[in-house]
Amino acid sequence: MKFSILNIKSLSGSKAQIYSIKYEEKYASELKIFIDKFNDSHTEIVNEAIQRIQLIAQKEGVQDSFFRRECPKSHNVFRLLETKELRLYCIKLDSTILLFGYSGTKKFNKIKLKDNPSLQQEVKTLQKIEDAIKERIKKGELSITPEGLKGNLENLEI
Amino acid sequence: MKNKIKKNINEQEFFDYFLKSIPKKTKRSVRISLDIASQINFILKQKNISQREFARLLNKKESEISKWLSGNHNFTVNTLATIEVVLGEDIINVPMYAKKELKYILIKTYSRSFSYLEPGQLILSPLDPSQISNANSHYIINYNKDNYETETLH
Repeated sequence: MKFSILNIKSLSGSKAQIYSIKYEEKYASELKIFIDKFNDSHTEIVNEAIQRIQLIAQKEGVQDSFFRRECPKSHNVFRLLETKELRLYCIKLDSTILLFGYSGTKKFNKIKLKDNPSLQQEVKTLQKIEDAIKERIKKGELSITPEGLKGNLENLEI
Repeated sequence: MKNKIKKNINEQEFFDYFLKSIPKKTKRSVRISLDIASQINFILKQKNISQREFARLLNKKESEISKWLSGNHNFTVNTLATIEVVLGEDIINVPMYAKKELKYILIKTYSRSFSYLEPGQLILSPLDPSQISNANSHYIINYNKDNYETETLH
């Protein structure tokens, strides 16, 4: 599966750089798809989520309590959005880099992660993406700098 | 109200437009929620109180505390007051502009009627004479640009 990583400049700030995964077969990044998918039905929640991301990146910083871990400690897939209806997941590459991936409705996530194969699959895909990025960092193809991720962020593969 | 975003724009422009379309009220409420969560987090760290201990002190489930600290919770004044009592610290600080803007000058008391002041004693009073009755129950009898004298009202 091929993907690119898009830096979203208007959401990024001095405390964190915001990125979103764009799968080759999809028309836009996952964060834009989140807005497109839910903005009509959950306008207020989507507005709040995007505003929260910007404030975390520009003012508050990536505080642990803002995120809920969704995977074993070997990986860093977290849920940012905790509302009655929507979920939004990201990879915390480090304390200054957030990479947004899958979003979904509560209906999808009604049962716990361990009993929900579809959601498990989404989280596993994000874990694979984290592995792929870390592998490239090891090889020196990507690097984490104070300005964010540097290197070729396009045509990556898991 | 739905956000109106132009079509046929790239993703960077899309997010720029989207951010601009978020209502001011939403921006402010998100900021306040995150600030409150950050403030509680900061105090918990400073006092070395774990989320579990905090939950026990408040007689709440840890999962509920976790939601409170996610920056995505709509706190009631009652909940904030309870947290302030348990932590012994202010979580929110309401600015009192009416008091803040008062400037004080030295004035000389005029009447013996002040039980706590001797005639001629110098005290600090608000620069704006109109504020004096609110602040001290003193009343102006003689005011000029730099100084004024007071007495109680009979």
